[in-house]
Formats: sequence, structure tokens, C-alpha cells
Amino acid sequence: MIFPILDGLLSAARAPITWILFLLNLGVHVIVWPQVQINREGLREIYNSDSFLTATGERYAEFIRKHPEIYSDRFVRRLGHQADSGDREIHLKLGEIALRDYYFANANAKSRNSASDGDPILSLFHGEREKSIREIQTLEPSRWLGVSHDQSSLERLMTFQFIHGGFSHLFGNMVLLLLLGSFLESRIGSASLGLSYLWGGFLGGATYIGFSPITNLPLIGASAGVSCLMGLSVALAWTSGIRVFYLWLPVQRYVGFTQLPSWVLFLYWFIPDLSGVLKTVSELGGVAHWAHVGGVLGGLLLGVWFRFALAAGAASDASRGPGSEGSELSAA
Amino acid sequence: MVFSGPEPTDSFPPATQTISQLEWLSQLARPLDRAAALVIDGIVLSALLGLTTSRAQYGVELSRLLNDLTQLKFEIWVLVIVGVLTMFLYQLTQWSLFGRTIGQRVVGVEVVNVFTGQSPGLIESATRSLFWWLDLMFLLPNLGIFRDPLRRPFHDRVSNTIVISRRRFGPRPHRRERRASELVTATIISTLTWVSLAILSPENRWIMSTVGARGADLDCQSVEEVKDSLPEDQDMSELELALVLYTAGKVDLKCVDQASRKAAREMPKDPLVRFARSLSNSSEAELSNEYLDKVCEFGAQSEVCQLSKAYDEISQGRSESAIKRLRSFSSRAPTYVLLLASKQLERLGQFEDVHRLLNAVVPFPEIEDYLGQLGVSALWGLERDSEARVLFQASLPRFSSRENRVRFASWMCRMEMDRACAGTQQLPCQRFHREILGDSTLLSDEGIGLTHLVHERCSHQAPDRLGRLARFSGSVNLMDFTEALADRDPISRREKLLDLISDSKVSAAVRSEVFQILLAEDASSSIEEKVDLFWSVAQLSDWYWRSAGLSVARAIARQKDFGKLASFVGQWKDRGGLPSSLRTLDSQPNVRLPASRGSRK
Repeated sequence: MIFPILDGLLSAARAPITWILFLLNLGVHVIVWPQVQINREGLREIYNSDSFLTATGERYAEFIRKHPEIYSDRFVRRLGHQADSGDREIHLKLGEIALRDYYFANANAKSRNSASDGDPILSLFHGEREKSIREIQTLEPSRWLGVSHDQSSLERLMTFQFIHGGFSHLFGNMVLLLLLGSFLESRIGSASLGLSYLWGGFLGGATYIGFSPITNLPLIGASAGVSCLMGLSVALAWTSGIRVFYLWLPVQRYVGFTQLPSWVLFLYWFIPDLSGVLKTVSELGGVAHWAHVGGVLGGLLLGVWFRFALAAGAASDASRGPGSEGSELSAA
Repeated sequence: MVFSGPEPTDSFPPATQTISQLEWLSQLARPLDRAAALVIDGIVLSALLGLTTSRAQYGVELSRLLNDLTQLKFEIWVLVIVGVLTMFLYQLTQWSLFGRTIGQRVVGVEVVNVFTGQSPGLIESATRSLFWWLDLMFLLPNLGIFRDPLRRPFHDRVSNTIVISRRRFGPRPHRRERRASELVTATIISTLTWVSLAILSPENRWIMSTVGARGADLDCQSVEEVKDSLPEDQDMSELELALVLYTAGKVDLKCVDQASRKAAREMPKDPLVRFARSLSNSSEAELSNEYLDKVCEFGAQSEVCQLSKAYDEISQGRSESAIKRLRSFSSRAPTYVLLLASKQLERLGQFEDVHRLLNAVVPFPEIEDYLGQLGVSALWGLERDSEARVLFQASLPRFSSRENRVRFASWMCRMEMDRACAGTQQLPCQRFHREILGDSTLLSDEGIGLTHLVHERCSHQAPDRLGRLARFSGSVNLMDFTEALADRDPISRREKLLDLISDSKVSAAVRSEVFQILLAEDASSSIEEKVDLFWSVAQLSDWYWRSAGLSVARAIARQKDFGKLASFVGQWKDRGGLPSSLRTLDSQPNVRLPASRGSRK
């Protein structure tokens, strides 16, 4: 295991923006979490119903048949064809996918028909459930703060970065935010760090919307911004390397800290995301790998620009005389 | 800890000179270093594997979703082959080009030829990699690292290599060579990635057609096929047929669900549709009841309504009312109603009504076996044995699968045995053994089970029948066994059984049976005799031996003689193969197992 430590944690006085970003993320999470829990319980009850999923899948298969232009080259079309046999298992699978499908959800919301046209009992039964889902979704914080394909305004591209899907999601992102933020804030300044985080999130969100298949699930989390900070750190510490904690074996000599070349860390972060993009069946994926990829690449670009800017600054400082801090980028 | 490897100190001794093995002793890599290198390589490989197998992983997920088993098998093969190739090529290139993998580089160890001190060549690296994986799979050869003076496990010895902590001998490759090697490594890995991405993708129809992939088989197709094959006078809707076939155990409940969902679109208010929907949604009680409540909405007198009410009553435990309702069906009722009602009535023990309803069913080939089985059960319940036997003989060939034939025949045989023990009829398993099973291995297994059953149920009242059963089975072991069991003289019977148990030619299954019978019957024998008996059968296969030993241990434990129990378990422990359940005895306060030989002082 290797974990980037960089300069470690800096105090709020030395890295104010990092801590403000952390507190903002934490605060939003604490405020919205009770509502998220209630919604999750409500949805779990509905989604556990096989009859609801099969009925939705059946309707989805019909929707796929009617809209070949949307599903021309996607595997759901093949699944839709298989559903002609009426196989319950395929309808179940389709039902699960349908709940994430943007086009289907939109058409469903506009249509007055319920998930089970023709069967009044099922219609009544599932009509209630669909109503519940819509009500839950209107209360769902990720729906009014997250980015989706039809809700991609500038303010949403900012707000989605401060809301998380669970404690582990928040924890992972925040640990990296604090470490990377502390490292970067002492080098590029507070304002630049804040802007970089937002820029990374913006770029990650945009990449997600541009490259990810259109889904009904909103994009949330600080991952894109944190990925940008990763890319930025890699670029800024390209020559000096990054300080990491390593644990090869739980024995004294094999646990410790060392300096690793930045490109190693870059590969360590980037390869899993690249594999994730390639291996995930996009209709079912839970992690927005594209947003990570966008964030990292955005961070790298920004890092290259910063290097030039800082090098130019150092050159002008040097021409002014000794004692200037210049572009000291190496990790302590 | 440095990332780059140590610089060469000098070129002593010259590369061409053969190095004595003793010279390596001061430079051997520490086992922990090698383990740490393994961990680091694990991290590197997991990232590499993630990348090279990403497309195959995508394919596996996709074919799983599409339920395409042929493609799934293909994708799994691709995944395994690409994965193994990646791991193999990683080691091959790293060892042959640099003499160390990334993990070894980090911890500062390297692989060299044990005779020359040079980095291993291509062949040596390939051999080492191949046996490295074999060692890892079997784990044991890796222990050579602690036993061999030069810490060379099997893969090192095979490939003439040794792992040392620093490179002392031989020149390091020139910088230009290193660059070239890095280029080759990068090219190989990226080519492999792109090959797996581009050529082996699941969308590649050429590959799929080459391996003969085809679409997945779909379930519930048989309903439509049967419908097409029905005679014209037996017109049944797909839903009715699905219900009939489901009742006869021919199709899964999901086929009823499938047919009912289809029918619900056309006739949502039809009672049969609602009844079938209730049945197929039985896992969701609320919805199922909702349907059942509405079955009678538009026809309170319909047969389906009566049937649904009967179902409801049975679930509420009101059997008498349900029976009354189910009895009301006449011969004009549809096939599915007659069948579903017969099935319920049979469960409730109303054989007269089952018989009556079954007579009204117009059969077709797919359900004839089921009708026969239900009919035999009804006739047997009504004690019309000879008619049941005739129907049994007529129905048996109608079962299409051998498994179901055996099951039905076995059921009939047991029914017959119950009668045989009651002394009213003779044992009629002849047909079962000779004509139905027709398989010597099955004969012997079934024969043992049946013999034991007769022995248990009929005690010693039916020795002739036991003998006949053994003869039918055609098993010599079984004949001796039944002959011994049929012996009325206790002394000669015990001797015969002891002969059987000590005869190594007798099958382990029979000897185990004999052992259990001796243990159960011979209550007067002392614990010592039981233990001796156990050791005399200790040559049986492991499984039987353990089961026999546990019986002895239980017999001793029943007498609460924990000293003897501890001694018995101790003996067993020393001989090896002590079951884990007995090992826990050591933790009980009043039982102390003798210390194992290793810990005795």
C-alpha cells in the first residue's frame, strides 16, 4: 500500500482555504444526511419489489423498441430484443437499468401512464410507488445540488462538489483534499487553490456530461476537484517527487515514508480510473470515472501552466536580487 | 529506501568466471525483502491487470447481463489468458531486461544466474516465471527458501538463478541498452493492452463467430411449443397451458408470470389472469392478495373464483371448507382447474375426489406422467393396490427423464415395502431393480439404502424378502449382508457380520453399515470391544472411518467414561485423521486429551 502524505496536514492558519473547503463539504453532508437516509429507506422498499422491477422492465423494453435512434448501438437494445420472449429475468435486469435511464425517466415523468398499462391492479399498486419515487426524488438533495445531463448549469457544476453519497465517500475525498490542499496552498496560494478545486470540479463535471452515457443519476462528490488537485500536485512536484507513506509488510523496515517520483503517483491514480472507464458497463456503473479522468487531466494542464508562471516569477525575482523564494517546489 | 537500484560496485569477479556457491552466502536476499517485493509487484500487477483485462472484464459483465453463456465462457477465457499473459510477460521482461522486477528494484534485491552472476537470459527468465507461478499455486515448494542454504526455492533451482541483495558481479547494461529495454517493455505492455481492447472486445463478431458463439437459450419456450402440438379439440390459451405445465412440475413459476403478464395486457379483468398473477407474485404477499381478492370481482360462480377461494382457505387452515369447495368441480371444469384442485386434494388426503377429478382430465403427452403419478397415489390411498400397480407399470415409461423414473419407482417401491412389512403383499421391487434402474452402480447404492430400510421397518419379520431384494439387486456384497442379517441365531449372525466387516473385498459402504448395526445391536459388548471393533475397520475409507469413530466416541460418551474417551481420542489423534469436532473435547473441563507427542516433556 502506498498513500500520499506530501507535506502532511497544515494548520488552518497556513492553509485556510483547504480547511474552509473541508468544512463546507462536512457541513453540507451533516445537513443533508438525515434526509438522504430517509429517502434511501423509502426507495429501498420500492426497488426490492420484483413485480415493480419486471413491470418497469417490460415498459422499458417497449420504450427501447419505439426509440431505436436512442439505443442504436447500446447493449440495452440487445437486452430489449431478448425481452420479446417475455423472460422475467430479462425484465428484471431491464427494470434495474430503466431506473437509471435518463430518456426513459423523462418520458415516464411526462406520461400519465403508470409502469403497468392495461392491468388496473398493478397500475394502481405501482402508480402509488411511482408517485412515491417522484416525491422522494424531489426531496433528494443530490437531485437539487448534483449535476445531471439536463441540470448542468454553472451553479450546479459548483454545488455538486460539496455533497456526498455516504460517509466512506466523504471520508476518502476529505483525507485527500486536506493533504493535497495543504501541499498546494503553501505553494500556489490560497486563492489559486480554491479556484483550482472549483476548476477541477467544473471540468470533471463537464467531462462527465460530455463523455459519460446519459443517465438519470446525478453526479455528486468532491472527487473531480480532488482529482484535479492530484494532477496539479503531480505536475508541480514533477522534478522533486512526492512524499508517500508505504506499507509493504507490517514489519519495521518495510513501513515508512519515502519520496516517489510524481509520475509513479500519477500512474497509481490514473490507471485505475482509466481501467474503470474501459471496464464499466456504463449503464450500470456507480463511480463517475470520467469525472475523475477529466479532473486529473485538468489538474495536469493547470499544473503545467503554474510551473511556467512560477518559473517566470522566479526568474524575475532572481533578476531583482537574492533572497526571493522563487519556484521552490520540492517537497519538504 | 531508494527507488533506483544500487550502482554496480565493480566487475569482480569477471562475468565469464564460474562463481562458487559459497561466494553468494554473504549476499543472499532476506526472505522478508523478497516478500515485500512480492507485495509491491502485487500492487503494480493489479494496476497492469486492471488495464490489460479491462475490456475482457467489460465483456464478462456484458455477457452476464445478456445471459449469453457461450459468450460468457469465451470472455472468461479471454480474461484468464490475458491476465496470465500479462503476469508472465511482466516478469519475463523485467527479469530478462533488468534482472529485477519493480518490487525487487524498490527493496534492493535482484535475480542473477547462480553460476555466472549475470542477469538471467530470456530462457532462464521464462523458466523462472513459469515455475514461480507453479510454486505460488502449490505454495509448498516456496518453503525451500528456508531450507535451502542459498535460499533458492524450486523455481530458482530449476532456472539456475539466485536472488541476492545487491548486484556485485557483472556490468550493468549500458544506458542506451536500458533505454531500449524500457522501450521494448512499454511496447509489449501497450500492445497487449490494445490487443485486448480492440480485437478481443465482445463487439468483435469475427472472433465470436470463430469460436462458434451463439445466442442464449431462452426459458419457457416449451409452453409455446406444447401449445402448437396440442390436438385441435384441446384448445387452451398459453396462460392455461402454463398453469397446467406448472402444476405438473414441467415449467418454472416464472413461465406462469411471463404468460400472465402477457395475458394481463389483453384481458386484465379475466379471473384466470388475476389468479395466475396472484400465484406468480406469491413472493410479494400484499400484491398477491390484492389479485386474489379481485379474482371473483366479475364472476363469483366461476371455477377460477372457487379455486382461488379454496386456496385462500387452505392458507388460512380451513381445510374442510376448502375440500368442500374443491369437490364441487365437475368434469366440465377446465383442465388447469381439475389439475390444481387434484393436487390440493391429494395433499389433503382426499383420494376419492382426486381419482374422480383425474378421470375427467383429457390427457396430452406432456402431462401423462404427472397424471399417472397422481393416479397411482390416489389408488394407493384408496387401497386399490392392484389397480395402482397396473397404472404404475403403465405410467412409468411415460416419464421422459431417467431421474424422474427412478424417483417415481423408488417411491412406489417404498410404498410397497410398507405393505410388505404389514404382511399383506409380497415385495414387488423386482421391476424397479431389474428393468428400471438397470445400472449396476445405482443398484448397489439403492440396494443398501433399501436393505437398511427393510431392516429398520420390518425388523426380522421379513428375512425372505431381504434375501429376495439382495438377489434382485445382483450385488454379491449385498447378498452376504442380507444373508447375515436374516440369520436368526445371534451368535452365527454376529460371526457372519464380523466376517463381512473384516473382508477387505466387501465395499466400504456395506462394511460401514455392518459396523453401525453391530454397534447398535450389540449393546452388551464392552467399550473395549467396541473400540477394538473400530480399529479393526480402520482401514475403511476416511469418510466412513470418521463416521464409525464418531459413533464409538458417542457410545463411550453416553457412559460418561471421560477417561476412556480421552484415551480413545488420544489414540486416534496419534494415528492421524481426528475429526475437528473431537478436537474441541480438549477444551471441556472434565476431559483432558493426552498431550501430543511433540509437546511431551
